[in-house]
Amino acid sequence: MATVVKCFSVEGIEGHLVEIEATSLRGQQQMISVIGLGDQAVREAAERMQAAIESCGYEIPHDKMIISLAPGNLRKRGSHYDLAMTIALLISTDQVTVKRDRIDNCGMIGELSLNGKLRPCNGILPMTSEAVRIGLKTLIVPEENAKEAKSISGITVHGMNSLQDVIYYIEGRAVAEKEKKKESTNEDNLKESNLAYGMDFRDVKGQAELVDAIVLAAAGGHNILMIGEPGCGKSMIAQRMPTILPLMSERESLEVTKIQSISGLLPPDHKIVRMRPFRAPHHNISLNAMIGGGSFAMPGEVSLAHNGVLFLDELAEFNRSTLDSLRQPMEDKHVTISRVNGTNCYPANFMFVAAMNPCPCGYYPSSRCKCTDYEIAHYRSKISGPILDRIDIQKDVRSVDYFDLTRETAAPSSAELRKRVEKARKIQQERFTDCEGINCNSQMTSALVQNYCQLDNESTGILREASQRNGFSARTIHKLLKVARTSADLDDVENIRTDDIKRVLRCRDLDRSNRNMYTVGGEQ
Amino acid sequence: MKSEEVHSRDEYDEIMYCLWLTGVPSVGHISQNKLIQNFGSAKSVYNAGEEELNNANCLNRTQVAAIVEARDTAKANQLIEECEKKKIGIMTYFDDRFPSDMSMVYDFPIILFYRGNSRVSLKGTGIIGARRCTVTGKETAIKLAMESVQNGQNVISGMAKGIDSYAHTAAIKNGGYTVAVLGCGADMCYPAEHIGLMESIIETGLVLTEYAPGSRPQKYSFPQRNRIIAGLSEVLYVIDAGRNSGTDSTCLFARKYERRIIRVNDGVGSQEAGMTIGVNVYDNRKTARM
Repeated sequence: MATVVKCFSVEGIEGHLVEIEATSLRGQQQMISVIGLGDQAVREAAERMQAAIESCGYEIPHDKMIISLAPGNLRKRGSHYDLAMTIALLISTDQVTVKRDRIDNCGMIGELSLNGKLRPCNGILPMTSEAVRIGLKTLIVPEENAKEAKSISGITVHGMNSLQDVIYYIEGRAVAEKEKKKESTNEDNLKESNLAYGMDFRDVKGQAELVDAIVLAAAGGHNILMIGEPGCGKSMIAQRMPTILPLMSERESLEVTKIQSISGLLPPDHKIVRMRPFRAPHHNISLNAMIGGGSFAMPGEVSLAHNGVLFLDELAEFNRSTLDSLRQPMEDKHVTISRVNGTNCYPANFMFVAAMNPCPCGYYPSSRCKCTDYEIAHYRSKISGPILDRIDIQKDVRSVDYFDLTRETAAPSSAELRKRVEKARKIQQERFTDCEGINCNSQMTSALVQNYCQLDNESTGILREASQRNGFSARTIHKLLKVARTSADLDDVENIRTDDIKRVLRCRDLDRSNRNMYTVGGEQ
Repeated sequence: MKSEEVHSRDEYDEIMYCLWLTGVPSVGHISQNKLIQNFGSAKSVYNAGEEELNNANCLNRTQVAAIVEARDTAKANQLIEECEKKKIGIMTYFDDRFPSDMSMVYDFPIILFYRGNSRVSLKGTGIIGARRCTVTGKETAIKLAMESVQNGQNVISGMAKGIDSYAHTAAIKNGGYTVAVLGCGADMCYPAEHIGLMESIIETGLVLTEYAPGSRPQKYSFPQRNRIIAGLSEVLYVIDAGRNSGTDSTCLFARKYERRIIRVNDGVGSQEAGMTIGVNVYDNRKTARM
């Protein structure tokens, strides 16, 4: 009976068990046939296996070898099946005598080099998760991937360097003992977080009002657009966004690490990701790179920014169709990508942060700007209404005088700001415990807004006056109310105050600026 | 021309022959005007023999040869069809709406394409100026346009960036009639961001051009269209224009047509003598070159 060696495939961000068997057929021409809907990399595995087997001093059988990757109807791609396939082949040709307890509940992942060394692969984390889920006891991975695999508890992970080591291990020889010493407990790894980010809001000086708006956005999960001239600090502030967002829960960390793992973004020797991701794609990004794509549908920027921040600098320079493709993930918090080879669903719950110049030359409204109103209106109309609709806070970023900056006293640090954000988030979580799928104020439905965003008479008066002056739509007012709710939560007060309304009204700078444009026709 | 407008056979013929004449190579605006004065109509030019053309004493041999060679109205008919499809109207020099005293002007076009609501009296106040203007310039343009509208004057400009666009916008916002003279065909918008403005002008005013539909904007077409602006303007306000700028060429034509030119630079005019009475500055160098 052929021995089954266990490996895994990755679909979307989930791993699936793949059982590998090998058998030899006597009397047929010598060859290795790999079946089970493998891609080019899987087919080429045969060549790598032969070289690795030879270099370890074992023999290639002179019969026809069939290696089957089951289930046979599931497409498989990648080079991480090499190790399991080789072991299956060696066992079936009786060149290796295994200890049953070492192979039965053991998964094997790894690519082979021609001289029999193990090379690191992508997607270790989702595969490890699956191994734990189906109840395997041990997992053999390349040494470089060991730390990543160890970030999941409930399984013993062995990091190995070569095919020979793996063979010694399954034969029950001494090498395995050496490995054991190296093992550290999985829990330690979890605690060891990579929080050192090297950026802090303390560096942002002279932008108190904007930082205030940023905190507001972070606390309520509101999307934010910063408008300002070149060099005034938009990108600097956006890069520091992750430092004030609440720490990720373990589940969130795993999701993020899984996505980065299958995308090959985890550096070797990397542990679980604790820092919220910050993705800032360049504006020439294609639609598929943004949403996810390729013939095997890899995660795009929206998924890589899952649980973190998607920052689009120079928003007006992005391809319009690329921007519009964000509408669905921003609403649904996940993307579904369909390709011939299958449909994958990736999570995409990100906070949207964008920055743009106020006009084509970048300097409006200073006297340096020589753009006409029509040019400015045209420039701004590049961002479609539906996208602008999903942005709750639009804030002008004023340029700062460098020589004033050096005199400026210390700005609040990220740690202080994060504390405020976390407090506000906690209030929101308690508020929405009964509401399925709603975690923060920005996700409130209109019924919830009615419920939780009551205004007193004075506040209603202010809002009505501002609305009449600026011509706010009902939807805009809804948005203002949600942000006002967050503002009140930040200060831990029960009802929305007049100050909250005033604060929120200062967050519609683009609307105000657009109304000053002296134009006719078009979208005005 | 708009489909509902019915042209008499004669009118249609004259439009067609005028289109034909403008399409003849090496016969320019001046020659076109001279020919029509000599022969009475474009149709007569078409029907004139080689000898007659030679005897008219306004063409050289190449031009006569070109006219004789080009006697084919297929292209002109095609153009009329295209205009009908694109809802572009055509007016010739003998049309009532054609700015009348211009037909005397010796280099004025003999045919104009238009979109929008044409009126008998197209003349008005010209407001032109820099594309990259100052804030004061912008405010001046808006105020001047508003005043013109209040005085029942049409606002004439070139739909360029900056001052031109503000003048049109102010006229439309205040319910006035404004004429935009383009440097390209009436079926395209240059600069592109003015598409909304252009649509508004077509709705309430008039877009005018001497270029056939499909003509892209060229370097030379803007100074050319400036003579139409100058011709339509009874008074010409020039705002924020520098020396040797494009607007200078409009002034040049305005001088030729004996229009009143008022320059407003950096709000000087508005400060010294109220908004509408600016400083009359003629560029002597330019005047001398005329």
